[in-house]
Amino acid sequence: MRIHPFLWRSMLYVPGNQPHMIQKCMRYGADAVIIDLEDSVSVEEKEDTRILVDHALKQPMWDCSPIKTDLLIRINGLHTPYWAEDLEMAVPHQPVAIKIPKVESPDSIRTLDRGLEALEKHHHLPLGQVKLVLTIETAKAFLHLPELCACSSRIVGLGLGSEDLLTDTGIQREHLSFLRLQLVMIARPFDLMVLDSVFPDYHNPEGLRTEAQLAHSSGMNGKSAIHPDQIPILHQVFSPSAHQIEWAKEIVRQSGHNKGNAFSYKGSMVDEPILLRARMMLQRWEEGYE
Amino acid sequence: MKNYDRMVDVLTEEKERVTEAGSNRQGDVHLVFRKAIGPCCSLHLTTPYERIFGQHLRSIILNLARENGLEGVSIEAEDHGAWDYVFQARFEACCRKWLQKI
Amino acid sequence: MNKIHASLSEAVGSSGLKNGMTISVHHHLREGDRVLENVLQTIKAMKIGNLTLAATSLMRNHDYLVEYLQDGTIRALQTSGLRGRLGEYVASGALEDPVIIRSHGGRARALSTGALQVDVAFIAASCTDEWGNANGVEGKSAFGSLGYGMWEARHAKYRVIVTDTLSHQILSHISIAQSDTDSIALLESIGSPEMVQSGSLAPRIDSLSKQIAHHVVQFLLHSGINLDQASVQMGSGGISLQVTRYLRTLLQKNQWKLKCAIGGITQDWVDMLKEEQVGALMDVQSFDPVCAVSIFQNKNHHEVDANTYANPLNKFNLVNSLDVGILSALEIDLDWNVNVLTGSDGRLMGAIGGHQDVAEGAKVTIVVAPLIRKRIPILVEKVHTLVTRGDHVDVWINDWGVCLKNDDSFFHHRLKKKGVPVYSMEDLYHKAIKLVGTPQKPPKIGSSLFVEGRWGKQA
Repeated sequence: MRIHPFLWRSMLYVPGNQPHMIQKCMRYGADAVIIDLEDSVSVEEKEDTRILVDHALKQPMWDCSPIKTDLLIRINGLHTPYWAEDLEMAVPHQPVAIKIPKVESPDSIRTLDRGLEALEKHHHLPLGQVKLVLTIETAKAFLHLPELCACSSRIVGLGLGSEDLLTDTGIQREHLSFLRLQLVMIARPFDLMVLDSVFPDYHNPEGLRTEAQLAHSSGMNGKSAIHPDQIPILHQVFSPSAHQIEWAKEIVRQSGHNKGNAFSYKGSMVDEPILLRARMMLQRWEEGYE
Repeated sequence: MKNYDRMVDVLTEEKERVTEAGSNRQGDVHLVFRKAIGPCCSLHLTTPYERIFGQHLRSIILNLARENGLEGVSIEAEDHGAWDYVFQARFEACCRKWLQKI
Repeated sequence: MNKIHASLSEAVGSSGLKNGMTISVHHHLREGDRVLENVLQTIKAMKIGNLTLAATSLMRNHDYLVEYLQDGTIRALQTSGLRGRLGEYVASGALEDPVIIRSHGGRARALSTGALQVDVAFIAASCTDEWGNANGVEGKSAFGSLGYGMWEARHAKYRVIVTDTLSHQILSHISIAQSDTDSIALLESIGSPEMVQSGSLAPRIDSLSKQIAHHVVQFLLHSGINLDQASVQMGSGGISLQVTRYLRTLLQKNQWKLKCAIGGITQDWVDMLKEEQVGALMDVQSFDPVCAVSIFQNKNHHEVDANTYANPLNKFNLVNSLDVGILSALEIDLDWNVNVLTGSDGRLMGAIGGHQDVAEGAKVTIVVAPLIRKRIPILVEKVHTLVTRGDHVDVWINDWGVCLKNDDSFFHHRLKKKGVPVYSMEDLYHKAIKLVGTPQKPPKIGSSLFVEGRWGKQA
């Protein structure tokens, strides 16, 4: 099993139009935060929110996180008039990944990929630096899943948009596990992470734990959160496996031998970002006092 | 008669021109721009941090108005604990809409 | 020997209280206290006035004191802190004499030297026997340690035990001995012990507090401080409560045991004592009614008086044995001075408590506070009110990471190696200014307050 370079047990959604939430989001210890320009922002506020997020991402508060928290930005869907400007705003801030909602067409992803490349060139960023996470929310997306997974080397993960998917297909909630398994089965050969959708009732920790455990046992790597109280539960459920811990220990050990230079481990290049993630994984596992 | 009616319509539209940005959420500021009487900009700010940051927040807004070449705008700002960048972002948004309407 | 009085007015009558004298009360019941209000009502009805009230501290529920100050029943105040409407009244300059603000150790010193002379001490006790032995651990309003009351009883000229439970047996746990009490007054109720958790001890711990607590634990783990057999004071407040909870898990994981916890004791500490994660609790103030049961039942939960806790004239005081002291702040400045009394807008909103004492005594003094609270920067150029001098502070831990006063220290190297974020004060100051701007300086409170250092001179 491939070890993914990102450890996203918890991904906290933060509405982009709520400054006090943006200011606090790095404090909660989530593995990743997703600044949302899509569903949590009304149409009337789309442009203002883009400006707000642009300013927010320039502030020094992004240094403030207990353990380095990855930044993702969920832009508006590729079928909307907003996505291109969202991308133009987002790329200079070098998010780890862009989350694309309601993905259906591999061609639209390829267009996005080219747009990203142009922006990376324009801002003198390494090509391919900004990754993609695709959210699968419709039956049509499921139909094109293998093609979607293969259409860009930037894709690192698939997210399940369960509410929209259930609405689109008419499938009842009790069959969600089947959909999770399908997603995992198709994503795995492409070495992609699979991330479960939010559990909206944040007053129900036991319900969250149950659903997270189902997701974990289905082979998923993490789950989105809408409230900071959900984060510790997700971390407990999606703890790194023994295999992942072994990998992280070996990477850290070998980096010592290589005096901090990049090296090859089991056929994969291990450079500074990979080493940092290995250390983070070990640190979270070792400390485990939360 | 037609020209006079048209003139009244234009003046009424000008007088009623309003743009807004922001909200009354915690950590945000609600900005409203209206056409002022006269060529200068005026500012009415309410903030729970008047004692410590009143002057500072007023100078942010007025500096932004000057930098953006705003004239004849009455600015209302209702602050709910917004940090400086929020003021800047909301001003930029409101200003864009205001200048688009000219 | 009949010390029991049928009413508080009888007890006041037998105390010889006259105009212009000094009375004292303790704050062990915190916002649940009803004794002071009863005492003042009685005194006013007896037309005694012009008194100095030397309380060990004053909380938000003491706003009614404004009326007693206005009508002349009380002329002057001495306390560890002021808040709310009372704080506003004092800050407005309405009092002729400045309010003297002391730490708990400073008050213990003042009592022992006679700098503070108490004519009548009204000491709330949850249980007393007919001979005047008293404690805070039995009775319907049991609140825990009588640490501050105990030292008052040793020094006041006349001691009135105010209680709502009279035992006909001699008490098995005696905090204040009968030789240190002069009379007993019975009330319907001395207060609400469940409110002992009130004030700075709000149980809700927010995300900011958790993040700072995380950094504190990172610092404790990686700085080289040996937590096994360490003596610690955690302080009150959300951050300290969360640090204690994280610490509990760490102690269990590493099979460490703290030597003792000193100062204010919470339920977490009581549980840790039961689980043998800490050897002893040295309780000068209980922050949870469960402490009452623990003091009574567990021989390692010790009730200590203010003298033992922090009197600087007592070289064997407990704060001098602290390995780590964690303290809160309303402001900290670039010279590491700390303000816990007034907000950046100049409002009185805190108390010194044991701040100066712990800072001076502990081997490592850690101040915990965020860089910015809502919109207000905690790190300022100069504090509004100097309470604890920067000489005694070693580390500031905030939501960004760790600031070390001594950049070349042993700690710095170790922390950097372990990936703990370390910042300079100057760096964080500039970040704060960038985010929220430089605050205007509000007017100083000036002559309305005299903040005393623990040794008696101005802080």
